[in-house]
Amino acid sequence: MRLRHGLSLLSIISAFIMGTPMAQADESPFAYVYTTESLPKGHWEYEQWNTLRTGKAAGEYTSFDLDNEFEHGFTDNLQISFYLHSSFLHSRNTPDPDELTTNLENQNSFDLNGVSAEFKYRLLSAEKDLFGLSLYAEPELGVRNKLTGTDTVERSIECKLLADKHFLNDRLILAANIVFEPEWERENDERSKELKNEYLLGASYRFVPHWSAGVEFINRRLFEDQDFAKQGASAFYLGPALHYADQRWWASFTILPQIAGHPQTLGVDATGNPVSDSFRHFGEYEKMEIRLKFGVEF
Amino acid sequence: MRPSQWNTLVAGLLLTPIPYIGHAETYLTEDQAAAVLFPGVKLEARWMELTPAEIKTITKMSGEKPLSSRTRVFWGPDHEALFIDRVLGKHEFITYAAAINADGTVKGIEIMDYRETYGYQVREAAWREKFVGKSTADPLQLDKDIPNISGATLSSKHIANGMRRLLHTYALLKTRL
Repeated sequence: MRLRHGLSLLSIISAFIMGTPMAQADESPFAYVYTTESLPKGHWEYEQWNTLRTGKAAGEYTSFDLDNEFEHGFTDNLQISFYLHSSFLHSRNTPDPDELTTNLENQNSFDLNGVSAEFKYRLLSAEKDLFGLSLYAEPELGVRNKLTGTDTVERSIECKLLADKHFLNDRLILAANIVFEPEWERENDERSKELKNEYLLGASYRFVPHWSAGVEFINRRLFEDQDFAKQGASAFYLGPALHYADQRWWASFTILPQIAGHPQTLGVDATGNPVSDSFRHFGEYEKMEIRLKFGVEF
Repeated sequence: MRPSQWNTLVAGLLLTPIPYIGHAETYLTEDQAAAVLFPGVKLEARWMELTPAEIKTITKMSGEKPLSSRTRVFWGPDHEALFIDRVLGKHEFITYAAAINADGTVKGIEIMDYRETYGYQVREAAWREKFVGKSTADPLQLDKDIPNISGATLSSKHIANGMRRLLHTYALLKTRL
């Protein structure tokens, strides 16, 4: 299933730039933070998420994550989606975050990461209630570790609480998400489990028709063995968000550099050099994430 | 699946959704809206400037601040009026015409421009008729006396708010005549 020489990162980006597709589903002015909006009953939307994650403490590491999503509004408040997750991973001489004395397998390959289904139910509408509130659940089956590129069998369910509030005649949107995602993984007959926990905040202002600008903030945390007493890594991201929307399509673009993380020192690599940073964590997370997400109604 | 098949799949997913360029939907010009809402009535078109004090009063009375101090009004012989107004849609402004009788009640509304993804039901007569007969004494609020349009909550809310503002604007401007 792996395409070692099939698609290069460059060809993917070129294809994307030349044929920019778009869709209009639960349009969000953010590339990461969810709003509570959902597709009206009977409507379909295609979304494509293009995420570049790059930079570790040592070696070369860049992943281009390509996620394709099809959404359908089953009622005005219930939206169900199907995702196909894939990524192009380039790594060279990058220490394995779980075993620093060995490097990740050098690779330059595109592959499928897994599939998932999303269920989003809106309880309150930000446009007519005091604030918006939605529940979200996304069970996922993974066949490849997105971080390391190794084959795996991973089951997870991403649970989110989404809230947002509109101000200034609906031109200013504040949104917040809380995420808990338990994961169970089997790799080379070894079983492990962990819990991902995220807090996301976003603010976006529509400054002229079609265009919004704002900021997004994310705190990502990892708990080993799904035990809150065993917090592993934590990282904070903050960056600008830009959004354009037209009648049938929209796009959101966000740049998120890691601004702080823990632990900063991971240990020493195979050559005895420390794997560390002065204020960020580069084991589980990267220096920078850039995401372009777009949607087209069909 | 073989690598070549993945190649085709990915390229297809990347290239298939060719951008659908949204286009402006203009349904009525000012003259057409006037002819629909005040058939056979000779109207005089004017731009009227709201003073800061008037804007403050309208905002206080209606709960909605006018987007501009300049207001486009077509006056009839009995001081009935046709307002050409616009409110914020999700992506663009929605332009509409509001006809107000000389007694300050709504005669009718017509959507002139609508360019949103959803909610074209705002153009349907059944929804627009909900405004007929309303006055400054009515709340003109979504889910109270004006029904919500699913998928276009923001548009329907802003049109209702805009109509409430125009009724108070009319009451104030009429005193100038």
